[in-house]
Amino acid sequence: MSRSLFQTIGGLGLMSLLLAILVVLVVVPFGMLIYASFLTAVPFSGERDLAFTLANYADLWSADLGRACVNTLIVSLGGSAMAMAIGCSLAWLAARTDVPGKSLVHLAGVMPLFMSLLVAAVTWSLLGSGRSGYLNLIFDYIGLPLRIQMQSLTGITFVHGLYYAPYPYIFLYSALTLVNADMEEAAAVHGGTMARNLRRVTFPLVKPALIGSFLLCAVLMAEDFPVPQILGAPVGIETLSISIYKLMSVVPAKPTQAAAASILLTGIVFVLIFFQRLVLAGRDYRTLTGKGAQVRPIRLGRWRWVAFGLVGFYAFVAVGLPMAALLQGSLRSNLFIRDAAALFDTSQMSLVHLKAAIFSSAFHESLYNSVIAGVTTAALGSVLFFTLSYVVNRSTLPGRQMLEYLAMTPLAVPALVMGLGILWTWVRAPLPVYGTIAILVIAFLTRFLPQGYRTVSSSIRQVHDDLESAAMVAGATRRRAIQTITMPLVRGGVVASAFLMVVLGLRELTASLLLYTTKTRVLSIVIYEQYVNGNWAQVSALSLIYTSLLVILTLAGRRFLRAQL
Amino acid sequence: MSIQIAGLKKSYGDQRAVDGVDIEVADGGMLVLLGPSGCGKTTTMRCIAGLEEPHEGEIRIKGKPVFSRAYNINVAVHERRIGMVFQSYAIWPHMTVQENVAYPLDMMGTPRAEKEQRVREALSLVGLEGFGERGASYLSGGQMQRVALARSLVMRPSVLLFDEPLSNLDARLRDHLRVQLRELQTRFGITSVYVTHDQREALAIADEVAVMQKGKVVQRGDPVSIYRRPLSSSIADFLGYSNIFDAHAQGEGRVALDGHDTALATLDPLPTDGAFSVCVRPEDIHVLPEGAADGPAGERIAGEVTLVSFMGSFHQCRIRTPSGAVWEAHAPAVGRPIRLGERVQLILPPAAVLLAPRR
Repeated sequence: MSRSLFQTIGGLGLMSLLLAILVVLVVVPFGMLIYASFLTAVPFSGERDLAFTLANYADLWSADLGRACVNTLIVSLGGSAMAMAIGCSLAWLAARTDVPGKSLVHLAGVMPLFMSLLVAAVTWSLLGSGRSGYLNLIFDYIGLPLRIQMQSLTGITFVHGLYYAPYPYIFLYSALTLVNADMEEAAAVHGGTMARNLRRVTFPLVKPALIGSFLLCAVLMAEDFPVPQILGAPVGIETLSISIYKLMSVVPAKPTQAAAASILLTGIVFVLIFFQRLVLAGRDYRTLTGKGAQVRPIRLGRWRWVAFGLVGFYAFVAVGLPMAALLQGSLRSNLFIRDAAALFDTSQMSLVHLKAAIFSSAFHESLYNSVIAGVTTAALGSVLFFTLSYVVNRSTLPGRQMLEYLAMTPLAVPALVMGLGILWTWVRAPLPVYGTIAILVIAFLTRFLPQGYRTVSSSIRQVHDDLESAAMVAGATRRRAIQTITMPLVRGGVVASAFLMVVLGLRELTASLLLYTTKTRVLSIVIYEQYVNGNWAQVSALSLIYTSLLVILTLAGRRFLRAQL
Repeated sequence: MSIQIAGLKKSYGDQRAVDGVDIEVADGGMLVLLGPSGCGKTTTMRCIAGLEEPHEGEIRIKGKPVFSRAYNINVAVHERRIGMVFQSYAIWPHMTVQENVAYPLDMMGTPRAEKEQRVREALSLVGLEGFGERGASYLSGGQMQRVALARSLVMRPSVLLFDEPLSNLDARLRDHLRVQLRELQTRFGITSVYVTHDQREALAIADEVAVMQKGKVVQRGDPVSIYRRPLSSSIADFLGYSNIFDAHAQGEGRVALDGHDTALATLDPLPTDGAFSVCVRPEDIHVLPEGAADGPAGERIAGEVTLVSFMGSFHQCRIRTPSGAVWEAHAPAVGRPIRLGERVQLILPPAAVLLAPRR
């Protein structure tokens, strides 16, 4: 008779459990950071005399940090502008014109996503730093008075622009294919010229996608760590992420000031995200897929092949060159390169470094760690994301909106900042988490919570409520109905999100860098360590293996799981 | 009485979806809840199924209470043994037709041999013999709805609920399936509640119709009496009375339309208090060429045809009178066709002129 009371208690119990998990994952680390930023020492760090202070914020008014802020804005806005130029041109070509080889153009649009930014930054420093950069050697050889210096603000901006272009590409491509040809034809019928139609009809329709993807790029670049760390830090160029990391790694470390700087960086990111939300206002262009076809392509005439050539050039610069550089780096038997001719001298090549990398214990251990961390994250994540999505979308429990907000919050917290908060939360916690793979799993779960939740949630939303209601009317308990109907129907989405966790975990560097110990190194960390040690042959060899692994996994995921990688 | 509902109330936030509904359905009867979207008809049905929990009231099925706020009873959905056919079909796409239909029996733990027998029977009842092995997602809309019906019949439910089951189907299929559905329901004498916003469908299938507006049942009766005698002008509007004019009594069985110089004779008693409207169905109005002296007895109104639309069995016409009133009338499809712009006369027999409270 008091069934509904039991149900209520059960529902509230589940709700409290989910809230508790999200609070521990998301709220506590960030809260810890805010708390620390107002103290003289990190809380729970064993320091006796904690006192309230505003000094950490006052110290932000230094010339160095001011410079870092300016640099952050330069690489973020400059990189976004470049990414927009590339991504939008590609999207327009692929969606609207008769450019030859459309599937190749599409591939060029998304391919750079497969490379991790760590590898991208490392290879570009191989290609274009100083006299011994491969490209500079080649320029010298063919007598071009051209030298590039990737270890510079321009270099960071360039790499950002090159590898974030897929985001505007994906946004704008779907927006352009969604703009119904009818709308443009209707405008033409009503007497608009082509130029006027573009301005009055097409542009306003894709404007949210344009602004939205620009701001998304700006956010990702502002908080990015690997690229400025590799191309900027060695020559003393700092963005905010780099300053925060430096404050943590100098001796003696200044963690509370790092906390204050983290709050500043989060503030910048938050403002950008706020504007993005404002512009997109509930419209998620990525979840819509274009109908394609129907649209009558614009004839490019003799510019067709020029356009195709430019697309090919982009693919070559973004993917071809780096892969060639990695091959070169890992196949060279000795480091010294006299001139460009030596680059192609087979007598100087050997498989010794590749072999060494493949058979090194560092590679095996880190691969093992990466796989364990990724798979554990995927397994726990699947249960968490399904339960969260179910409760948010299907229950009437109070506070379910709160769950969704919390799940999406990590999008607005930079990876480095989140890593710092997680570190301080668990380093002194009574649970033996710090120094184990578990803390990496916690970090991955937190960081990829938004992506995982969104994937599962959208697949639950595609399953009509009635399907589960029908099962209950037919005599199934809710539990049975979930097991026999809802779960089988969203299995695809859950598997896709699990796979996403594995790949994202494999790519992750920033948070891992703050949380790893010698026993819990993952692949990206090993590559970074070898880079710091200046072991170029190993860096190249490991990067080559790592990138191949990512490409295979990503392609397999897209092909078989339709995962949004 | 198979279903008894008393004082049912359900709100979503501040929104009163169901606001005090009392309904009984006789054994083997078919009650249709008819109303515009958002009137609370679907919520009422979902409360019967147990998919929604009412805030107040009592629901009994075959005399046994399944919900009662007063006695704190709320029988779970899966224990109510109710069949339900959804507007979205709710056919599970990852199962075959057979698995779909067998699902309720699996939940009851029916032995295998009996289960197979009953699934076969149910499929043949809806005309889907031999479809058992098909994947459910490869069926057409009409076939899916038949599977849904078989799935509801196979459990031999005490009550069958239909939530706008035909509204996603095309017109021809809708008529066909409606007849089949009614046939099965009367053959097995299953007490049913049927929700729809389509008045034609409601009148065609019901033993009794309950018209709902804003969470309340505003009129109940058999289809014929509902159609003949709507209790208010808004119900009349919903039932297809397309000529509704505010009016006042003139005395001696005559009413005058407000704002138009038209007076009509009616057989209805003239109301002594409250505002009322004149309601006339388009098919009860005769359309004759101007000057024709034949035709039935009744008030004659002159006007000009502003719209003619051929509907197959009749012409739908719109006629504007000199005072600006626009009437809708159905002219026969046979004989001399009515032309656009033609001057005609409308004949309104007193029996066609209905008076209903204005609300």
